[in-house]
Amino acid sequence: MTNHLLPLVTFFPLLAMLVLALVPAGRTAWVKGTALFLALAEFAFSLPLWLNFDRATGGAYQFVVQAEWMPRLGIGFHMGVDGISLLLVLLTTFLLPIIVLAAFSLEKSLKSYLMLFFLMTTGMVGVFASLDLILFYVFWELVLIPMYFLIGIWGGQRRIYAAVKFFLYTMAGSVLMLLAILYLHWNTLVPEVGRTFDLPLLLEHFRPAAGTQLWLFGAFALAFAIKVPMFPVHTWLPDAHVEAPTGGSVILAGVLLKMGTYGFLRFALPLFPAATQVLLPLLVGLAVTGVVFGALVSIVQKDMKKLVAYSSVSHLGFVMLGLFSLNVTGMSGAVLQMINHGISTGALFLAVGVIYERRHTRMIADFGGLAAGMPRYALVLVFFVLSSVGLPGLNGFVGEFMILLGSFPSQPVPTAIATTGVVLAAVYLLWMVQRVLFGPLANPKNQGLADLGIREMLVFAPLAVLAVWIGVQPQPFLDCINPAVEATLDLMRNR
Amino acid sequence: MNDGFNFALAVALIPLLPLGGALLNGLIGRRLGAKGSGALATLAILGSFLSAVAIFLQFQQLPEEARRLSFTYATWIHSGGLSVDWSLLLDPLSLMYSLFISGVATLIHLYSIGYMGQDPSFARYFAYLNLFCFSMLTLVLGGNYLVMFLGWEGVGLCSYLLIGFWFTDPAKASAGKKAFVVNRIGDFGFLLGLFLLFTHLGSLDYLALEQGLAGFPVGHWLPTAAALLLFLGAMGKSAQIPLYVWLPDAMAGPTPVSALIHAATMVTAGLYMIARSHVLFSLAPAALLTVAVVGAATALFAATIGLVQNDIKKVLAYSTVSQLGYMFLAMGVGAYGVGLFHVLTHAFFKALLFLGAGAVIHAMHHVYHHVHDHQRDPQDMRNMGGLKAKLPITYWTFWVGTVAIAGFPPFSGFFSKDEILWQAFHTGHWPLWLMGLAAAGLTSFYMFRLLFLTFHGRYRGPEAEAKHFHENPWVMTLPLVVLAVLSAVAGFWGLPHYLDFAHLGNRFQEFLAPVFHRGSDLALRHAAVSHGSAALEALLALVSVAVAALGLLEARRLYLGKPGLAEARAKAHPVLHRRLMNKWFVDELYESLVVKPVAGICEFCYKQVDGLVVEGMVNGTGRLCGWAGSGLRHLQTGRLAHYLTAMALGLALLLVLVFTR
Amino acid sequence: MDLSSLNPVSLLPEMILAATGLLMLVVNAIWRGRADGSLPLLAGLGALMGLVFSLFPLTRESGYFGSVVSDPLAVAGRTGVLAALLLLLLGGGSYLRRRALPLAETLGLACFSAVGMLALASAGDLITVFLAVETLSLALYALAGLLGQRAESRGAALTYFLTGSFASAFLLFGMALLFAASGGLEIAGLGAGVARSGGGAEWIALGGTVMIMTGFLFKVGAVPFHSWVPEVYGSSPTWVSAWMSTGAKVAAFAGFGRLLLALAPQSEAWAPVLGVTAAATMVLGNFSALAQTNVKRMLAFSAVAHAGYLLLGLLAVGHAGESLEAVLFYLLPYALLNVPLFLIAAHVSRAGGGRYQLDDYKGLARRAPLLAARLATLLLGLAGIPPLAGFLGKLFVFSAAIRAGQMPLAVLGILTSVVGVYYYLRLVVLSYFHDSKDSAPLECDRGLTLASGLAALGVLVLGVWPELWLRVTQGIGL
Repeated sequence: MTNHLLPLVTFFPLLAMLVLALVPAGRTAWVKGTALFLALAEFAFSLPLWLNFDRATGGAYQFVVQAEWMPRLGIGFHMGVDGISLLLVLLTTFLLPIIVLAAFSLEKSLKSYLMLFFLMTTGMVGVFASLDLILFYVFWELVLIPMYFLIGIWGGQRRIYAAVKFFLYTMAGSVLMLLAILYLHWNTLVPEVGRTFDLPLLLEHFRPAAGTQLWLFGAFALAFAIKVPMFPVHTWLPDAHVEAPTGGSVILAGVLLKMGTYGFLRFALPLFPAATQVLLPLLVGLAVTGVVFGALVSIVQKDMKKLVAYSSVSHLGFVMLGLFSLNVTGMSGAVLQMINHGISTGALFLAVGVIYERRHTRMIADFGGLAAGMPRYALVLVFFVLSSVGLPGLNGFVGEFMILLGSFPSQPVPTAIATTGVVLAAVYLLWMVQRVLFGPLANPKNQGLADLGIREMLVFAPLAVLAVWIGVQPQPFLDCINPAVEATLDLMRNR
Repeated sequence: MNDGFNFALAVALIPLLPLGGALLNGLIGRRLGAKGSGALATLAILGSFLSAVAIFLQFQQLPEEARRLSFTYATWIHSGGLSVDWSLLLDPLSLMYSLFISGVATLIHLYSIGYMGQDPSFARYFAYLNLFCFSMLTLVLGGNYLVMFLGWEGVGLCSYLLIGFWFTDPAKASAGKKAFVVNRIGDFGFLLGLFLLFTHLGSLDYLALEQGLAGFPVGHWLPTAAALLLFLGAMGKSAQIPLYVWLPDAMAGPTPVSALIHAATMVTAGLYMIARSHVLFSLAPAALLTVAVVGAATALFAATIGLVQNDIKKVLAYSTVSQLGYMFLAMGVGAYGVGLFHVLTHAFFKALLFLGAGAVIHAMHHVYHHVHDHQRDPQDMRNMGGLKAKLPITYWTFWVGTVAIAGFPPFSGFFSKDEILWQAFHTGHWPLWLMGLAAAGLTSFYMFRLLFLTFHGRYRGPEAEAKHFHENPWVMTLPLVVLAVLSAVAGFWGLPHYLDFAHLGNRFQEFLAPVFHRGSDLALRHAAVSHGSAALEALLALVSVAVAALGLLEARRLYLGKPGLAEARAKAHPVLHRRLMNKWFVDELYESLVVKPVAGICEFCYKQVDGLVVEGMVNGTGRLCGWAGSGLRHLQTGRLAHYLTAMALGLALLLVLVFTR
Repeated sequence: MDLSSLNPVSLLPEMILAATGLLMLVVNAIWRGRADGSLPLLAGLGALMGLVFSLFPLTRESGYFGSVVSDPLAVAGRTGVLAALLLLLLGGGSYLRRRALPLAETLGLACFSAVGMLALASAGDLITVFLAVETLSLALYALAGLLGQRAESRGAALTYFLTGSFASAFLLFGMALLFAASGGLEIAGLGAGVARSGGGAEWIALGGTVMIMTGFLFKVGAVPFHSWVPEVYGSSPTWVSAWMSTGAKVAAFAGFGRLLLALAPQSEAWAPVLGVTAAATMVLGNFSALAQTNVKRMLAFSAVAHAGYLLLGLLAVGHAGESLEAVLFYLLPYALLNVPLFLIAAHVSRAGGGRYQLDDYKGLARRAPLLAARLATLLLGLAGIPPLAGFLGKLFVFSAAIRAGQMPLAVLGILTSVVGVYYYLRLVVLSYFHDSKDSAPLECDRGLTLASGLAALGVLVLGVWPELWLRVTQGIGL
């Protein structure tokens, strides 16, 4: 029953959360076992999406489910995935078991921690699978709550400030989008349907004047730009990342930020092509500023997590640049780069988490020479740093190259400026590697730190495999993305 | 195609064998032991070499025009207008490179077994070394610019890893980083060049691009811009002004690495890239001139620094930079084949010199280790001297290398270098020729200075320890001998016609001809290698030999004659000497012109822009709301009268509102 | 007038509650407090019966010659009121016992005020409206003054009484004018009547309308007629504050909505009143709540803010086929969210010496996990976070505002609602992210746990399946 697949993948985590709730918190082993099993089950459920996805018609929504939800309000339960959302759903379900496994070393109330991740998974999958604007918005906001608690309860010293900032910042961004959605609803009359929140129908029938488009686009763009985050609405990210527990940072970087870029691609651009065209210079400018600014700021960070956080600002700037290239290569590259960033940066946060668990500090200055004592760890860190700086043969390069190549024809100068981000990435990441791994093992506290154990290797292994796979054979992924991107561009052209 | 011989497989094996070796060494190398893992790596690269030789033999039977085979193994990136495949291109150019890379690499792997045998992390070393060979061979065999870029970045990575191989020393680690970053600056240009080409020609495939370029007139802006951008990449990889600064620091790596990566192979990748893009460059005279000028300038500039260095490897490093300058000079005057010939001969004698230096350092180190002295620097020539007797094989092979690089006939350096100078001269770039000539003199001087300081005279350490010297094992000396032979005879593959009495012909140029003829088809007058008057060429050759001899004699006078002369000379020109000793203060210049300002900007962005402005606005909004709230509290006076008045006023206001519309 | 249109059962819920109220007094008169244990139970039963008949009215015809109607608004209003009362009785029992309030009187007055509220929610003509308002007001004045021994409580009662009667005066005067202009008292006919008489009558009618609106705006605690709210809610017994802030408001909005629907033909004339007051109410309510350190006062201002949102929901009244679904939907979730929050506040602050300080909530999650979870859910609901019904409530009112073409108001409202999110979350932050001074577990009586649990569940169900509720109000079978 492929058409029940999406609801299953979306709501199974919710069920899993309830199941987990029944396990006595005292029995840690049970909690771990159950959680890992459920997470793997969720991933297994999502695999048929990948296997049965018809790449030939990758531009069309598949596994579509359409049911009444609030008919008298024009709100329907409409789900479906095209090549873009498919990969993001899979990324989400792929990261879940990894995070669960990585969390096993957590001391503080592991059970509730894991439950929140399952809840969040429902929200994230829902965001990527929803084809009804209200349904989408519900999932969109639903994601905030568990992340808010994750940061607030399991976070570091300034966790409360970070949690509240995260919640309010993103909330304030998205409420205006809600109004814009309502405006769409009341200003679009669909023959023999009436008023609706259904995305495909709205895309077909909503024909606003350029002026209105501008405001509506602004409302959507603000919500998404904050989530991405684009310069200058990015400052919630470093705080959230630094304070969040490892798993939280991984999901935040891996999936939550993609909700913003995905929003642009799925909603803002196709719904308001005219506005996009008008604001393109501004948007491209902000994207490039993000690339360079994020990179420059990363260079001077003293806290590993903050460094990786700012590097996310830079990398997501690349993604936005690709989206705004408005051609297949650039946009497909952007989508691929969303996945890549999820893998690489997610892994980097996990890597930071590893030594944080051992030393309870993230300050670069506290480390140095770790490579001598922790060769396996050194290998992992260097590997993912390289995938993050875009070394050819690894995932990061393919996306980055496609983005830059795609955006160069339409935006030569901004692209050239953004390309400096490639140089700077090498600077800040390799400098971090050098200060953490290389040099003499001076600090006595760092002597005799345990190298990665089996479990930790298992955490990183799937990410590494995927990084190489995408680096060498991205085509299976691109075959999903290309048609979907082409469909999006057609939508923009035809309106 | 030839019966039975599977080119596609053979070509693929060249890069894949070392890759396999690298993976194996990474997984089980430690269990194999130093010898085992070294043998594994050596066999892997030897396999590549043999495969290349086999292809070479098969190749000879192909008609000239058929000597360009491209193989597509799998798709890589297909999206929108972009379609790049995993493809390899086999033509004389890539084959020539593959041959000498795998050949020299095999010798250096063998040498490394002796040199790195005692190092605890030998497995890591050999894995890196094989990985490098994989990248380098991919670079030269790749069938399109993206595959080339893969190898391009790969060699950069391996260079980074191997320079910082002894990472516990911060200086070495940061030397690795410096190399990677400076190379990335070059890559920035490389990438932009590719974007530009793709935007206007819609492909990254060599053949497609050559066809696409056919339409452009010479001097058109597009080829010029693209060529200049690509050249930026070449400058980074091949250590040309202003991006040469990483190479001297790269000497922090193990000496065999310096020999393989930073002398023989990787640093010549830039030359390969230009040769591979010769159609593009030939369309861009301005770009070519830039290449030539940069090359000549680098050749001279680096040579001056080489004059006074005391670290044996530093001298060789600057000599490498200088020699690379020669090659670019050749490329710049459109004599691609000539430049490549120097690439080949230089690969032989510079690898030889580095391995020789390595042998000396190894011996010195051994001695110091024996007498438990860890203060003295085993690379400082001022601690050496008189090693001729102690390390005979090393000495004689080193002597061959020195004579070769100094450009004395009949050694290989003479042929390749003079051909370059000749091409520079007769294409009318006589100022560049003059610079090249001067550099030749300096080269001869600093190389013989090196030879004399190291091997001649008396040992400058305590007599007691001199007895601890003994010649290195065969695994280290055999490569020296082989390379010495090659350095001696390689020149005869590229005989200038005025010396070609036996009418052997210029084998090397004939072999490469198919590559560059296509270039000359595209109406490129000055690109094809032409010969001016033989008499003039011979005369100039004599001049340059004379200059080299001058250098030799001067070195002999200063370092073998009365002691103290060199110091006196230094005192005579204190300013010049200080500048030379400090490498013209270029690193300091970059530090204050680039590094510090960038760091400042970063701090500013973080502290001021992000911290004050952006965050100020965010938190300001929050604070504003707070104030608004506490302000409104004052409305709640708790006085009944106020409330009633408020209600009355409210009603009045509403009435006014509705009735005044 | 034929008796067929008497239709007595149309007043059934009011009757039941009146009977229950009387029962309280009778039982108390006979057994003199020895039966106190059974009183809440009896009251609860009464409220439950009333609730059933409000949800599923025996008739949807108007009764008593049109002075009582059972339209969807009536169903919603009545249900909201009685749901609130039930939650109070269920969760507030311990509070009443603890504060030693005169049980019979409290419950009796509650029931009588409920009668007024129900009547207001289903009033079909202006007379009924006035009678209902007076009934509930008088009962509430008394309730507010229940703790006669406490000074600020007495002050609160007095304030409420004076300002209230002030407002009642407006209400009455407005009705008179409207009667004069339209020549009728039946609400349904008002708009048409005004239109018929035409000429200067419209001006008189408009004046009357504004005055009536003022009366209602006072009852719902809208700016600038809100000043009594923080005083009264803040210093009355929390049980009473909960009741006032919920029941009265729900009923008032039901009646208000019906009245404005009837006056829709003139809506563009009086709509500005709604717009202005809504804006002022949302802004002032939310920002003042932000500045409160006393939880009870914070909840009071939050109640003000929500009045503002509901006023937005009334804006679309002028549109064809508009049945005020926004307001109609909002009423029940609001009741479910508001009552338990007051009760929990009372319970938590007891540990902190009854001063309703924010600090009392520190580490609540560790001391009373169940209660904290319910508190968090309800707060998130009030903040309007999906998938809780509070979100849909906001969605509907803003949707109505946008339909009415009032985008600026909607923007203002939704931005202030973000301010709201901040002060609601502040309690969550305290109870989950802070460590408590004393980690002694804070035990919680079954009634409160049950009531808050039911409320939270209801809010979740309504949020996921709003159709259920909307269909019920429409009398459409499930």
